[in-house]
Amino acid sequence: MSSNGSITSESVEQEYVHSIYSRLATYQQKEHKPSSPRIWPRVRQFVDQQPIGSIILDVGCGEAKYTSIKCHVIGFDTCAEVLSSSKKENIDLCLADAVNIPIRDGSVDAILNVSVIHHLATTARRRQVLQECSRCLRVGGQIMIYAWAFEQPNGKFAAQDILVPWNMHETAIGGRLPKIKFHLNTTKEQRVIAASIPVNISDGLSAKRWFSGVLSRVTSLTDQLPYFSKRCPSSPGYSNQSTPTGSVSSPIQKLPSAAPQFLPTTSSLLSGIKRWSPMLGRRLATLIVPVEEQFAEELSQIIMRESITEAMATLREVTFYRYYHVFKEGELADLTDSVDSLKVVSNSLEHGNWCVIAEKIATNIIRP
Amino acid sequence: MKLFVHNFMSSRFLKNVTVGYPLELTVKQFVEKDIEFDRENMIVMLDKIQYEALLVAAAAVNQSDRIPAEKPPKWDELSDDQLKQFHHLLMNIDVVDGELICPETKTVFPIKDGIPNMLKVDAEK
Repeated sequence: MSSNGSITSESVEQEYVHSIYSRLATYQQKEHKPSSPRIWPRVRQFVDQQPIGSIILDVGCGEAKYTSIKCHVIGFDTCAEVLSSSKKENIDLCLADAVNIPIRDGSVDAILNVSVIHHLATTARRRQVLQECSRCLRVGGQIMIYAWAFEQPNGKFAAQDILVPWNMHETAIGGRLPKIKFHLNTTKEQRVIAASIPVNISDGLSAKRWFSGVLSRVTSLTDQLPYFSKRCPSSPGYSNQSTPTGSVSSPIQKLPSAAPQFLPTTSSLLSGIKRWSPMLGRRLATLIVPVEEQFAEELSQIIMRESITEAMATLREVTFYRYYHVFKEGELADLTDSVDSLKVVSNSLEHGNWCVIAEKIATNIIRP
Repeated sequence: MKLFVHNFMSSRFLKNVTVGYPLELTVKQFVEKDIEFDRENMIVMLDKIQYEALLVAAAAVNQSDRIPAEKPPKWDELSDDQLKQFHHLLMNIDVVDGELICPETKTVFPIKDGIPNMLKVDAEK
């Protein structure tokens, strides 16, 4: 949760990417088995055209969709829940981060970077991912990058940094659930675009920002009455992003949680401090209540909040949010070209995604 | 984790690590699978392999005797039987439980259920 529709790059990736994928993975195991993930034909083709015996890295492999019999695929993901439910033959899995790839320099023949880079919240971090990929590639090896496009066949997003809803339930049409075809079903696509929420990504938690955050939380105390109804993303607080107010007294806009929270978080100065520095928060709180009581209270709050969310998710009554940075035309290719030793070979728009293939070229810099 | 994966892994991404290779390997449990042998595929892979790291991996599963202590000069001169020894080590042996250890900082990366955890946030906790 944050105020003013603004959030740091670190927390947006933690809350709206890593944690939410872990949570969704547990539901997918229960709800959609056997899952039939979308296979992009161009990615499949890229894998299939690699020579026999090639070492292929799938950075952010998720459900490990792209396997190969004649090549050796190593799949990386940050999400343990996704990986452990994706084990299969013909692919080796590893928990690892796209910005810190645990592979020696110049050792792999090809890299897949499919639907990964749009989950990183700053240009610097997106470039770092590509730099890491380039480091691992041998000279002449190719990388295929897929990322969601700002320009969609049937509409445009309101901004490039957005929270996109992911509904557990689908609206029945004529008594039948529609097939989930994300990019081909325009009705759903338009719904998704319309329901996505712009966010401002800030570069780090400065003391000033934190303090203004605390202030706005205090101001908004009046709104924070206990309730058991779900937060509605279409309420005015979320959608009127473009309303020109031009004054400091503009209504506070809150981001929806990545997963819904049915109990309000205690909004006090103490919990504000705790979020900023858990140690300091606890130490201050011990002046008021003993430490055991504090932990017990925190724990019971977390358990209550989580269990209600779980129950509602089972009833398919909730909306989850994931963070995306959607790329404008040319942006992904330019970012790739800005990386030393990567040269763009092709750039195309495929079903609402930018698809870039780049090759590692020899540079004069010789690494030790 | 098949043993060939160890050959490509490095802990260079950790703070103050310059090479981070080869990773030390301890194996608490492994299984032997029966992956189909393909001569051409194996030779291509062996060309990409760092021999010193392969020796580390072979020792970790007590199977150093399968392969020569020195790197053979030409892979395609080996017989199928010799290549199958390499194939067995690299492809058939699957580490289920164990540890990868950074040679410089001694940071431990656990392997659980066949999946190594190389996350920097977990390693630097």
